[in-house]
Amino acid sequence: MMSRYLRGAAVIVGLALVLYGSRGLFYRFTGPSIPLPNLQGADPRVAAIVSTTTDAVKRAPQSAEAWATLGKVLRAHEFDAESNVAFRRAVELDPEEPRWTYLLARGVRLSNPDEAIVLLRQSAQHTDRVMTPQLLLGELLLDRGEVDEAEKVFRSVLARDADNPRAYLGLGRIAFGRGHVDAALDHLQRSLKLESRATETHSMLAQVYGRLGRTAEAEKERQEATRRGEWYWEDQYQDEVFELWVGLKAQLTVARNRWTSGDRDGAIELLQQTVRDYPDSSRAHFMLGDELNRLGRPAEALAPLRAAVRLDPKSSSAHFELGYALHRTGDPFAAEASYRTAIGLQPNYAVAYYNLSYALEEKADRPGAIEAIRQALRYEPAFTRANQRLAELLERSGQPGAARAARAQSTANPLAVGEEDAAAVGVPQQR
Amino acid sequence: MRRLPFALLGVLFAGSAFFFFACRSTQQPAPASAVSAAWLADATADSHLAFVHVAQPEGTYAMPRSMGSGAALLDFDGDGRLDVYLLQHGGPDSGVTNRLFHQEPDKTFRDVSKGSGLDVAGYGTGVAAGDLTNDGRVDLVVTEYGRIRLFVNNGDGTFTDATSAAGVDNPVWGMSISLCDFDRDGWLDIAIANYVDYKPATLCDDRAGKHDFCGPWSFATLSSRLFRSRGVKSGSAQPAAFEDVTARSGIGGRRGAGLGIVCADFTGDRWPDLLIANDGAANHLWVNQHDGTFADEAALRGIAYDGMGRPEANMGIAVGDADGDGLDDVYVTHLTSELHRAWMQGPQGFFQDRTAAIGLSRPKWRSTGFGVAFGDFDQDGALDLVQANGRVRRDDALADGNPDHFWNVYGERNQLFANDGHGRFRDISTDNAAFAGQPSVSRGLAIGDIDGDGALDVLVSRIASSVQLFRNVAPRRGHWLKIRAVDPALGGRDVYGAEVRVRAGSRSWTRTINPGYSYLSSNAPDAHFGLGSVERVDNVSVVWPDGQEEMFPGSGVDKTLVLKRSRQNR
Repeated sequence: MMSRYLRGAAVIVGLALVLYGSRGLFYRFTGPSIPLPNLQGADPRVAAIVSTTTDAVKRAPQSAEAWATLGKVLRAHEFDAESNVAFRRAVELDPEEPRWTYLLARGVRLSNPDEAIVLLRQSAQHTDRVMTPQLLLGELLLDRGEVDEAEKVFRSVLARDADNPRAYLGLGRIAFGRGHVDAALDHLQRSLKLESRATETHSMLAQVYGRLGRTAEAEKERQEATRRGEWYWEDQYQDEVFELWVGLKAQLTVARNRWTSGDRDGAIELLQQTVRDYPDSSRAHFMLGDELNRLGRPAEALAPLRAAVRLDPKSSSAHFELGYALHRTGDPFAAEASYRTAIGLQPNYAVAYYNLSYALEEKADRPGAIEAIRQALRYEPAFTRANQRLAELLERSGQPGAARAARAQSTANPLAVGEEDAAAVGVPQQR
Repeated sequence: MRRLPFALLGVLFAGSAFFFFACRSTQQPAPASAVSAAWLADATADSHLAFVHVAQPEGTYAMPRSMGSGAALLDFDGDGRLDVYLLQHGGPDSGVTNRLFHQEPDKTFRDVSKGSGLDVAGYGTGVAAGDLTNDGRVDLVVTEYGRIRLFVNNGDGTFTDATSAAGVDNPVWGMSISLCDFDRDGWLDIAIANYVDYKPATLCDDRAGKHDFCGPWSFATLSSRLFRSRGVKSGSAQPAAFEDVTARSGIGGRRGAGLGIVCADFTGDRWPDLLIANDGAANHLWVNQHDGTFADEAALRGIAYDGMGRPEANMGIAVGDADGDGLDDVYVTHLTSELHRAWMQGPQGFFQDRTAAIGLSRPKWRSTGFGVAFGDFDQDGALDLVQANGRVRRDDALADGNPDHFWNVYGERNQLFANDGHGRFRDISTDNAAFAGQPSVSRGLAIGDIDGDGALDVLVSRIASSVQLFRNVAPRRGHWLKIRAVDPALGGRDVYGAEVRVRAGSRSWTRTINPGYSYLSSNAPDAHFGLGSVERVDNVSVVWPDGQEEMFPGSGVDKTLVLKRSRQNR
């Protein structure tokens, strides 16, 4: 009797063990559920590409490429948790592909940096050509305080690629952190020779020069870092993600990037396409008008800016830019109305007051122009050009004493060049 | 009876199957952590501090809604107990007004807003408390989206709005405020971190095209603002017109999306400097040139960028001597995708990002931090760190499916870090469920000994939620001293910028009287010293803001000392 029970128990335990043992095999064939991001409120083009890539995974659930493409699409649109599921499956299906391990590492580096380090090492093992996984590994280790390990990684990169500026930057950061300021300077200068555009290298140099007491050089590097703005190292794996970014925001961002990189025609072309793709987007029309204004083509800017104002009557920026276009095409009366609308919507709009002062002066309303410029200075007391303009207006009004005071204010501590330009975009006669 | 073995086998089978399916999850279990006693307990309800923040317009992504409103700890009636002033964000026409709470002898709070003059409505952001008129009474400065207000304390529980009379005008989006006597003329001046030139019609999306709050990069940034006090009107307790020295001082010469601000001597020359935490850009450290002007030396002094040379989303600022070397260190909160950074001072006047070296690069969870403060909560003689968290960008993974819970997707848990006595920190958040257990959208944070037991308590303001008061319940706390430094020649006011040093045997501790730090908030205006097992201090010295040092005799511990500057010392 007892032995029957025992046999039965043995069979079931055996069955359970078989099931347990086969779970990996079972999972291998079924994989995880396809992640479903919350697409409520998303751009329809985003929903469409997510749907397409999800269908591709359904059709080929054993394809690492299909899962990775889904992962890239999800990552490109900030569905980060869901993209990690997809990349993880891609890694399971093809653990030797460095791209998937790298992209999964990027996805988990905040929530699980230990896993990210393992994945980056794994990614680096499978590529001799691309240094990005190792460089990110070195930086991650450094940020976590594993300095010696980080140094090994950067040196191993340099052993294979002696001219790698990012690795020298890493060594510079390490040396500076250890208090070896001269060594840091050496590494950073080498890095800068190899890649002069890297903002981080300039800002690190500013700190190193500061510590060495070389303040003029420190200030020069700080200015260079400020001027250059955001910088991203070349990352061909991450580029694959951004290539799959679609929708209005993607198009506007690419247009902005083209503009800042100097490809003005490319930016305008893409914005013209975007207003065709998204005819109801005030932002697309506004950006097109804004860029045309900046290019000195105010007559062409009028139509998109009028559309922007029609689509979003509360946009102070659109009214301001429309005012500027009207102003530059010779209609100060209409410009004044637009500037005043912009100010009505945003009472602290210093640059709108500044431009309004020009429109009023052209209408021979000098007191009004002076009052407008005083308002600009109320909101931006260090607005150098406004101080200068106030001085000019006061001189022309026969108030030399007040003019001298305004001029003194403008020259006492002028807003740094570049910083004012950034804020005073839209100033007539200066663009 | 015969069924029992089969039932047992069934359970075995079911268990195996459950194990089989359950283990398909790729999620890793949360690591277990040793549980030790909590340091902070929620005392909001017991203290009757009934305040719910309103952030309007509701249901929209108007950016100012997402940045929060601050809180101030102040003793407005001079009864020796800390009172509370809380800002609202309902807008000027909402009827939702700021609230003033008076602390009663039984340590509960009573709403005394009505008739106080402080029950005003607006898009409140930052608040600073300090005696601007040198009459020994604490005044208030409040920033709002679009304006500033200056309230003079009348000494009878009411305040007068003296903004226009004082000529203080900041018609932009002001954030944190710091009061200090930058020109050392004996009158507190006003420094304000301004944020961005926000355009209300601007809509921002995430990369999928879903609406979310804008970041600072969507707008032009602003310069900070500095108002120099010209004292009081002759024969009056009202302030004379402040002078806007923004342009002349030089600080108007650089823009940034300023969120946090601290006015303190960061270079050791006994002149107050201004540290401004800029969101998404290099910090500014405006170094006092002793002639009414400032020069930004953040980059060359190592505090503009993180240790990687990157500007980050700098928000709240904590200042204190975290490693006990006598020099103030700086901790700045950042986004979830970044690390909060600790810049340690040394050599004097120079800073270096030592976040990893002091154990702060591996918190138990990543967070978007705002209000933050160093404080010795267990009173072992080493400054700990307390931080209020809440996202600025939506995380749909936090959604609970209820569309009415607009802020849920921005919730994060607060954090608390214990100093091991050698300047290294350990994340003890999981041991403090009351403070760090529940996600919310916290912003302002102020610390002070609110209940008068000698231990530091914490006040946290949250967006669209109730304020929280956390009482210090740390067990086995060490001894303490609380020190006020006042100057009878300045109306007996607390002397902001006074550096207090306590010595006992071979040990010494340095703290500065400075309530203006953290984020949008104003802390208690005294210096709190945890002393561990020290039962008597040998002496206390104060370096007054003009550089004169004054020695005071030793004392027992577990008490509050009020150190008055002597006439001979000036």
